[in-house]
Amino acid sequence: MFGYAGQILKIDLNTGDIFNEALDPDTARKFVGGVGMSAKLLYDTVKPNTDPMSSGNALIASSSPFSGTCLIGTNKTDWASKSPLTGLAQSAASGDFGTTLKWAGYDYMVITGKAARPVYITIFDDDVQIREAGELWGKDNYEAADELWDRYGDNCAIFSIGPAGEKLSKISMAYTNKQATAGRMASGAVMGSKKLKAIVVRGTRGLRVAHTKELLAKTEKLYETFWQSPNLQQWRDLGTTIAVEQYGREGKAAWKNWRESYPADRWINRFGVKEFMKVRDISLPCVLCPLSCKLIQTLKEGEFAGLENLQSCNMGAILSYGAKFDVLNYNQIVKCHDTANRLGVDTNDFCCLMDFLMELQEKGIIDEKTTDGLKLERNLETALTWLHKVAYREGLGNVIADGYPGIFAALGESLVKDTVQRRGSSLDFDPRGLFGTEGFGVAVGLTGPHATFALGPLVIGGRTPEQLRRYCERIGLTKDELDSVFSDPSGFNVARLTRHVERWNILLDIMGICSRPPLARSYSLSSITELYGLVTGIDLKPEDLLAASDRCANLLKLFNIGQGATRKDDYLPERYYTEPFYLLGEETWLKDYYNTRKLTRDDIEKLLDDYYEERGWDKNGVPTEKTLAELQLAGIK
Amino acid sequence: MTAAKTKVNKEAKEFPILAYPEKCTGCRTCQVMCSIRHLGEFNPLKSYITVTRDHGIRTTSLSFTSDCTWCGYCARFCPYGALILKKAANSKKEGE
Repeated sequence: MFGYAGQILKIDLNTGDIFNEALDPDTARKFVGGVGMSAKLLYDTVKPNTDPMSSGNALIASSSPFSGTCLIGTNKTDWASKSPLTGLAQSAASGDFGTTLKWAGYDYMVITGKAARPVYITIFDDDVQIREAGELWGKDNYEAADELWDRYGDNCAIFSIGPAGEKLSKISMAYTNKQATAGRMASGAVMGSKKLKAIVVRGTRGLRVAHTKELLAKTEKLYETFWQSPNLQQWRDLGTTIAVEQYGREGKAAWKNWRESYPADRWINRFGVKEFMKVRDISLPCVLCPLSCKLIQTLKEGEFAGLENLQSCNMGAILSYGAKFDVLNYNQIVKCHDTANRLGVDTNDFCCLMDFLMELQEKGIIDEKTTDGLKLERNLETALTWLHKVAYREGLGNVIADGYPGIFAALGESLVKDTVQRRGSSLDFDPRGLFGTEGFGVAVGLTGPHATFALGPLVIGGRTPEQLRRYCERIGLTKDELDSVFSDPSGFNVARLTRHVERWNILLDIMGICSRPPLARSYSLSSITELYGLVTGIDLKPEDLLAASDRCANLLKLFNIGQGATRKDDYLPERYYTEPFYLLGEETWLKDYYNTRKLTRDDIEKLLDDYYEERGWDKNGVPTEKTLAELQLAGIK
Repeated sequence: MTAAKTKVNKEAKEFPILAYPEKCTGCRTCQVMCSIRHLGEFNPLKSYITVTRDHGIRTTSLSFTSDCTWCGYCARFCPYGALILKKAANSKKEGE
């Protein structure tokens, strides 16, 4: 098969069996790759009501048909499991593991079972081995990766966990090459539950495509388009920090448990571009990425001088430690982030949980007895102390390590109303003040409340319906779909639009295309379709690729339903209806995108109906027989 | 499939590529482009360029194997200025 390695690597840690399954061409055509194949493999492998910490859960890695070729920014790896945190499908994309896996001869990898003793896996082309982890178990994430690079050379990609994953923390993460995260929803705990410390891969099998000459010519054009991208130099200089000052000015950095925005002046003084450039070091891109949103931050002077932070999501760290812990500068952010990444703790979840507990203590709802005799303060010391306590499950850290569900179980279910989360997973941002597809996506996100698949043009305020219509035409909406989205008297229906934004972003994920704007905008539906043909020799039409995206969404939904999810699991946090957000000092409520009226719980329920209808699901959010038949998924229930 | 080009670039009197390992980010673009041009497949570790890195993070050296044909295809695509064609570097100098 051109463009595909043609094999699925399956490893059963219960038995130690390792085998290769040939990739069925019809399956490749229907599910294409990336999250599309992850959804298929997850649905087929993990049975309903599986305990996510049991041997029945799977760790799935999926590359895309474009991964490993010369196409820029197509290196995403989709990691999927049943999440120990939410109990739903997990799908997090990061780094170049999948690309390297493909060069080793495998498009996908499925690991099931549980090892009797801690192990790691090495994949060197057809030499795949399960090895005793020995002293690697217990090492932090960076020490483990360095040790493995020493053993096997720097040309390997390494996926590893730290102590938090080993201790089955539901707010733990696994990392590729120390710096790219399979973030959110406890990928570290899935590895830990399997007693799997790391996976090392190196590939020299090579990959052939159907039409090399034409693909190279198109690649040159892609580069030309890419080099003309707006804000390209800013992206290369600042990475995800590109929006740091805008976030401050627009009040998008929330603290005090999502009650108010962080003071804008303090934000810009401490974390503005000028301050960031003092710690900015070299670029650290994924494979074949000419952009490099990842930038090493090195402390050249002051507190913790010499320390470097390798982790990719600079902006997430600033929003977390900068806002929620109110730390003083980039030196302190780098120290916190480095500590979390070594331990393997999910920074966003950790900071949101601590922000919530700090609010409880500030309000006198919990006292210092509950928090191991310690006062929870918004500062560096509290952050570092509790990162360790959570990672090693010490004292109340043992409770926090189990996320919101752990806290509710220990301190009382009545606290649910004081939290901003969905099914135990914390949010990235607050949609009160600007309610677009990202905001509605909090309620319906198939892999959690994060903006992953719902991120679209409405993340910026003031978009006109005409601008949105042009965007929708570009991402492949038919005339009927355009009519459905834009027949709403307010200009557009955010729920119906969310369904189509998700379809586009899932397609990008299927093709392994990075969502960073200069990369994602280098591709269009027609160019993706043409490139897929050049890479694989398979003749698909744009509507076939959009159908593959819908197949993925429906399979993820069916998977979640099989694990017990119902309409009740598609919701916005209660606090959005009952309390305002103080945006730069001004009281702000959940309103429609154009800020014309306040949205009630009933409004959101109505939008949920619209979303389900647009997806071809019934009132309970269950895909109808007709929808499944149209997607060639009939009988899959 | 494109035919692999294995002849040394006869026009160049000296090695035509300038290498700056300190600018190399390890993105492997050079290796991927080299391998497709000369091996007809995407296989970076079998390309004619060796990138040595310290624990997968910082590049310590950039070198070319004896199979390198001096074609400069790698440098055409390097996004970070770590490999530059001397011709391009010289013409830039002249233009300054």
